[in-house]
Amino acid sequence: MKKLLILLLFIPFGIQAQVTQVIADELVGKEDLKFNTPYGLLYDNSGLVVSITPNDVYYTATGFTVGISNEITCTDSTFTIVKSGTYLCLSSQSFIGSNNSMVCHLSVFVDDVEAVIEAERKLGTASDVGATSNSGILTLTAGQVVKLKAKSNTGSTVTYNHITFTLFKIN
Amino acid sequence: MKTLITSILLLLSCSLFAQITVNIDNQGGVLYAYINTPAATTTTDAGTYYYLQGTFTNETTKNWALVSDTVTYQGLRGLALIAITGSLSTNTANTEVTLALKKNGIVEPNSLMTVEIDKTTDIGALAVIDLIAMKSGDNISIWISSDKAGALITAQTLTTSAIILR
Repeated sequence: MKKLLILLLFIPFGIQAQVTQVIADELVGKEDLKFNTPYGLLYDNSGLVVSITPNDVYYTATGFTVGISNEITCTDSTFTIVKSGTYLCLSSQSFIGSNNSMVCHLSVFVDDVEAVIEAERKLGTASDVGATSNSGILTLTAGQVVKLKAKSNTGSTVTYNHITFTLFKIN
Repeated sequence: MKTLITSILLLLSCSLFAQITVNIDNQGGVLYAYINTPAATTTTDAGTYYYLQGTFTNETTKNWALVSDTVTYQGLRGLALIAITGSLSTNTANTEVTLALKKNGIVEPNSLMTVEIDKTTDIGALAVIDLIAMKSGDNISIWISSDKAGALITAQTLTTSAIILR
């Protein structure tokens, strides 16, 4: 009976240790910092140029650096959704134009349809560095492609000195 | 004997629950802080980052500690969404001001954001949004640089929100 009691004491300790470890791993993530939530980050600091002619038409911003990501497929211009759900979409930008008096827009597109998560700013002179940001919530399904597109009412290019584009699943 | 065994199992279950609870409590994290007393930062050398001056007040914190305008994550590990919005002024016309976050003293390359302030009477606005992987003890601070040596840059308003997503 004593042996049985001792055995019973050790079994729960073992189970406790294993269960605690499993839960702890799940809660805190692994050492590679891959968190259990889909997210993606694109950014650029090198002067990402978007050609915007003819004017008043949206053109895809390409040439991003792919940052950290998990369960979102990232390229230099797109996020492709792996898991359906609700996502928070955030972007911030600083940019210059090619001409004076440019009204510049940058908007989020899903499968090439504008999602109306848009930033807008007028550059009085071409060398002005303007800063804008845009954010919104998107309901996305697996396989959908999310990208940023830019346009202006005049000029030939918009150059993004710094730009970040972030997407992560919130539900 | 049955009572003894049941009691032991109950105690062990409580201990297990307590450990799980501790892990859950150490997850997540929220910070909201803002500058309540603006101060000028002297950008002595163009293109060099200087610690952003100004006195912060922290409104809401969980698992973040704000000490000397640097925030340190005190949870176990998480992915931080950091959003900063600010308005800046300068004493030097035509100044380009760049704001950056440093994690443990190193510039986060995806945090940079620039705005040009044409006149000394202008106020420039910018936003920084970043995702940064954090573990316990990592710290985040805000730095600025300008393209005009000696320019004084003042964050007239600045808010910082940091949420641990997972």
